[in-house]
Amino acid sequence: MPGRTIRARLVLLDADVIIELFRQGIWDALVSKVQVFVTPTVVKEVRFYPDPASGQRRRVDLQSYVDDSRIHLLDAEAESLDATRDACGKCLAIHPGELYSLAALKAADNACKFCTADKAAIQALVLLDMTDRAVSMERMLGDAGVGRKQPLARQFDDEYLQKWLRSGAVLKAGSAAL
Amino acid sequence: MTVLPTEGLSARIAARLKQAREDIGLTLAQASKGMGFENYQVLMNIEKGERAVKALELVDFARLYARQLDFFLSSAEPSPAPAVIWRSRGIDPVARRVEREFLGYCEEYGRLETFADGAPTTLKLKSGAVSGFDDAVLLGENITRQLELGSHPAKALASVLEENGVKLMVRESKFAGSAASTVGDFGAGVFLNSSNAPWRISYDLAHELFHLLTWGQFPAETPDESAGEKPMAEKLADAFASALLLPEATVIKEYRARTKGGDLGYVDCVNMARDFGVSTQALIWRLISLRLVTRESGTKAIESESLKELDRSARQQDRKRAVIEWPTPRFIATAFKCLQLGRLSRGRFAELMEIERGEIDGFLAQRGYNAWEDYSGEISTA
Repeated sequence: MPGRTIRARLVLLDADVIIELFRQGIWDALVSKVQVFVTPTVVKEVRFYPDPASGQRRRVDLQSYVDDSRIHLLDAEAESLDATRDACGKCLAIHPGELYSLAALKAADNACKFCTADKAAIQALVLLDMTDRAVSMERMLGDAGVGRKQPLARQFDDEYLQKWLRSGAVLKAGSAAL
Repeated sequence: MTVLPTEGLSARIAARLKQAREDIGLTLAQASKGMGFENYQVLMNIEKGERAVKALELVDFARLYARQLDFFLSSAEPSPAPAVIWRSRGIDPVARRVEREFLGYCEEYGRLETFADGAPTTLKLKSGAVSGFDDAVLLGENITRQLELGSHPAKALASVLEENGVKLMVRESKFAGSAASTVGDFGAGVFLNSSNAPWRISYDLAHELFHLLTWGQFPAETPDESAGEKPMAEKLADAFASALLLPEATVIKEYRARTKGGDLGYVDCVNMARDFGVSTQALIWRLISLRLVTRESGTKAIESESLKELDRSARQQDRKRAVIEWPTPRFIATAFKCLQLGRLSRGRFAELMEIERGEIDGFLAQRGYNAWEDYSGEISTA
């Protein structure tokens, strides 16, 4: 059907990415074009974003998007949480909720990508042998055909993601040598 | 699916959930309420291994019990918790939870130091055997000199101790207790209660420093307040704190400047104590020990209602002054370095700083850091 986008792409979003999408005013555009997944911990964690014009806090209610099935929850099992902790715990200090996201990603369909700007989370993807699951916000928006209202900050571009994936590979080599 | 506690991950999680709950003194009912379970039987069944715990519940248990996921999941037996000595322990379960949070903070601080600099910072200062009051006083005076705390040590004590590897944690809690100290693989840590007056906090910190310096010389036990007389280690710690915060030479000099050969007026006495950042009572006891005032006149002054009233009124503004910034600048700097290195996630950073996820950039900007800037440049050593 002309003008209609098939929502075939699957992506799990990190809290910072969600906050930035709201800040840029392109959250709704993205969720209409991409199948967005979040973890329950992120639904609880992301409660507001700073409005770029006024600097005021603006409320975010991700639960309403889940309730309307506009976004979807991704869950993890205790076993995959344990495997994730085991792979990352010695090298990285990661919040249990973020470990849960990584564990959920590991258990999810391989087509599901993870969009994050968090250096530690990007490196964790390498430690978990999920380098190919990483996607930058720049790439995600480009693939989905979502235009940006403001330039993206450096941490959301593809070059930044690649830099920290390389750093993750070095970290992984170092941890294997221990 | 029902998982029986035979062996493996499920049994391990079940047993450690029970241990973690009991460690912080929560009943099944209290913990169930904290988890939002309909009744306590759900948790009872989880702890018996008759109901599998969901991964998401485990994340919530970690928060409720102030534990890392490692504690529940790791196949290695958890190490025994380091001893925590309280100056005055509060009421359970609050005190137990604060103690767990304190140990968790010290462990995580040490881990971040390892990520940032290769190893946890440990307290380099040590004490010889302390067998009596003279030793404790001498040690206090020596530490003031060694740490270059200056003429009014209370002002610099917290930041200098942090620089020397003492991990300071501050909480405001009516029921937690006044102060505590611990030593572990992470180095040395001190807990301070910010619901106390600033001069009390300074004294608590100096008091706890004595325990850190003499760790292992005395039994690692919290004194039983109902037993009446204080244990010797506590008395020595008080003598040490007094000598450290009130250096003999400066006290004598200021005493003479204020008395000019006459008596010390109550106003001067209170102001002198305020200058040193100690309680008026602590100053008077120091003046007695230095034989600048007689025990009789000193104790009479301590009991005087007019001195107490003057003290209360003069210190109203002082009460609002924070002795220690929380989170401490050094902890923030260490965590920020780990953020920069990609070793600490932003979610964990927000949790450690006790802020919301959306507040990270503003929190760092207020302290002169740009959350996303790359500060990886280095200056070569000569």
